[in-house]
Amino acid sequence: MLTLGVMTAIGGFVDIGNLVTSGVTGARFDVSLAWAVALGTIGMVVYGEMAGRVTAVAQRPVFHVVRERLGVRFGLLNLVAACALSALALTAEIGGVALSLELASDVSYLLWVPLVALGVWGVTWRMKFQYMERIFGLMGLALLVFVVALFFLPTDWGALLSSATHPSVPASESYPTYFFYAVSLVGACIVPYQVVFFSAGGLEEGWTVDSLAEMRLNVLVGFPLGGILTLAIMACSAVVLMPLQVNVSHLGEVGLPAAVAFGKAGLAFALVGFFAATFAAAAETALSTGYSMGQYFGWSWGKWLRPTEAPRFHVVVLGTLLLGTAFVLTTIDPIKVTIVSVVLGAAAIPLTYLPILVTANDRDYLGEHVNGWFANALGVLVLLMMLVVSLVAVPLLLWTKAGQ
Amino acid sequence: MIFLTKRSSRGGDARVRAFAGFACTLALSACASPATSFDGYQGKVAASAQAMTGIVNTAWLAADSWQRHRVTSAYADIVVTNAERDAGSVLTALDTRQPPDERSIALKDDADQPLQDASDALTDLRIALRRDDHDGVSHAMQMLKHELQPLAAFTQDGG
Repeated sequence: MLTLGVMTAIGGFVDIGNLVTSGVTGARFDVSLAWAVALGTIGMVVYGEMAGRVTAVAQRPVFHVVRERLGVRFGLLNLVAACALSALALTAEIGGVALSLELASDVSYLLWVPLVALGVWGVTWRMKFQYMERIFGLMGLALLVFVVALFFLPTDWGALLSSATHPSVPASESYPTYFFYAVSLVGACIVPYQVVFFSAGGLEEGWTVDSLAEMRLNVLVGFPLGGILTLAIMACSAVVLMPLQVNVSHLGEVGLPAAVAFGKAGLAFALVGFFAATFAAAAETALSTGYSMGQYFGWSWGKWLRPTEAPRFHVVVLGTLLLGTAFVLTTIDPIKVTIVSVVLGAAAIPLTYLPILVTANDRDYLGEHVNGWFANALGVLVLLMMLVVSLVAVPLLLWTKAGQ
Repeated sequence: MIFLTKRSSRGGDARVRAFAGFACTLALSACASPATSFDGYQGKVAASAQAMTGIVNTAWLAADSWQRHRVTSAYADIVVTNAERDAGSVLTALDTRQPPDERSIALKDDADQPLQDASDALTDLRIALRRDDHDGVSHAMQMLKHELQPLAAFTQDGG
């Protein structure tokens, strides 16, 4: 019942972007950026619920709504931006899966990349949607090792709480860098492909008005779970890596606190979690590109259809996978791609979320299920926050040289 | 029609110029900025020493965990190999910066040794780890610990 929310949380919320940015920020800023994760999580819950409601009641997926509300030309611009960002994110995710396998096997990640791409394609082509949700959702729960680890590490809970509730910029860091990482964290939490996948997944599962309670449970459990996992990774990084002045720049460093707490067993859980989160995210980003284009152009789309019944959808998914794989094989650093894709994604957020807010207020579509005043107030506040984030994202990326 | 073509062409040029400007800004932002004064160069040296301290500590933590059987050989090897590569990048980045005056050249000479020693110790650690040589790992870890002190001096005041 909760598997779509958990998978979206594991693969969309806690993907390579969140793993890296939470590890980096914990080691550099303690948990003083916890507020950014909280804001991102609230934003994702608010808009995930709206998109889910529009899907369940009006049977309208996100890019159908985008095209309808933004118009054909502006909608197309949004589609191109979303697909380009998904391809960039897919590059990072494939790299993330390969890096997880490298950490487990000591075999170069570049050798794993083609196999990972083949595996992701196999899952998107053959595996039933429900199996995909269950397998990766459950495997991804291995990341809870970071939550448990906090109780076994020499955690100063008072200091953590104080850092989270009294955010400040460490003396060794600058304000632009601090806000660059704040934007990165918010962007990593509310990446647009996440809401596209959640909404399309609802249609794959056959949601109707009767599924609203199930949808809300998915939103209220799944995304906050993703937020908790992100905060736990950040806190572990702050407890173990910050005192050593480690500047996290590889996935291997993010897993070290689990090993310090529980040895090889903890490490195994962390690696399984990294693998599940990045693999699920790779499948989600590839599928999201197919979903977005299928919904915009009015093609038949979805995993519930056999590939012969949705050929263009599957060609787009395969094409995106090939593009992402080729990009990783250029030996570009997947971690750098991650940081850039998260920030550029943050810049494009409002374009996807505004049409959802507008449609969620349309009585012709939603009848009695339109937004109430509370949902609208939260929606507008979150949208304003996204607007600020989107305006400052690229200037901060350039100013801080991607957070250096 | 001609007017439309002209307008479209101008619009295209503007878009190309905007894109080129954005690409140049992005490319320039990725370059290492030069130091034009001793203070600026001292800051670069301090940043390099700080980065190297973090790298050394990361490798030390991975090696210590390996010695106590808390991580696999594969994991420790990858973490230490990455640390060694990062150390090389730190050295290269500092080498490519032009010292602006005599004091800066002297500072660079002073900083080079501990940075290079730390990088060499990381190489020794990686070699010992891949050979499953516990004694070699212990020795390299001691070397790394030893390098932290001179690095700290540069971190605090740039030497």
